[in-house]
Amino acid sequence: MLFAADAERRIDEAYVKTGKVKVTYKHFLVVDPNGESLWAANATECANEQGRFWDYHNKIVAESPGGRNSLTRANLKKYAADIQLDTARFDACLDANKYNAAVQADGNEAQRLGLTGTPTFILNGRRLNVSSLDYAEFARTFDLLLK
Amino acid sequence: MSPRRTDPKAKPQTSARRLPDWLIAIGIGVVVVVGVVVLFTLQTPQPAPYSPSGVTSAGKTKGDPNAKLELVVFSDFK
Repeated sequence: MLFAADAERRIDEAYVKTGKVKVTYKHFLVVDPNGESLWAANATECANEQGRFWDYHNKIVAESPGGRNSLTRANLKKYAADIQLDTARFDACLDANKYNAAVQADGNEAQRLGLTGTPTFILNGRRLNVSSLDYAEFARTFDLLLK
Repeated sequence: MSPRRTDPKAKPQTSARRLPDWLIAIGIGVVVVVGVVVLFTLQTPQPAPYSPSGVTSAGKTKGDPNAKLELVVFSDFK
């Protein structure tokens, strides 16, 4: 998630807010697919249920850049409260693992595409091979395609 | 001059007059209505949605739906 902590924020400012690029998030659990990765993915889907996917995504990135900090269920619930989600609804959703199937569906798509690691980027339906997660590399590619 | 006579059973006169019951009822009603209106208008406002990025979004996609480029990010929060 280092991409999200740095390059993505700059992409938001320069390309997303200006209407040039839209960004879609999909889950591909490779680090702890039955534990914290899965809980965190479910948590974002529970936030999405309340129309707050990206707010919650940004909260996780801020609290645990690069996935460094523990994403326990307790922490995930605290983050939901911090951003003023309906916590009763969120907690019930998370505890029920309500979106396991949706998360798995994203993972299945990643496997069909032959992806092996994260983050992996698909730009207009084609795999974007980047040598680093530097903002400049994304910007160069976007600028080229936007000409 | 003859002395002033008074009726010992008569109630003493005062300058204050009791308001009619219907007027008191209307007054209480007005106070209650004003109180309810004030109560509802002075409720604590709901906090604004937390939106650190300021980017428009729909579900798991953010940005203009008609944007020329779409970047799909496959990722893991860990």
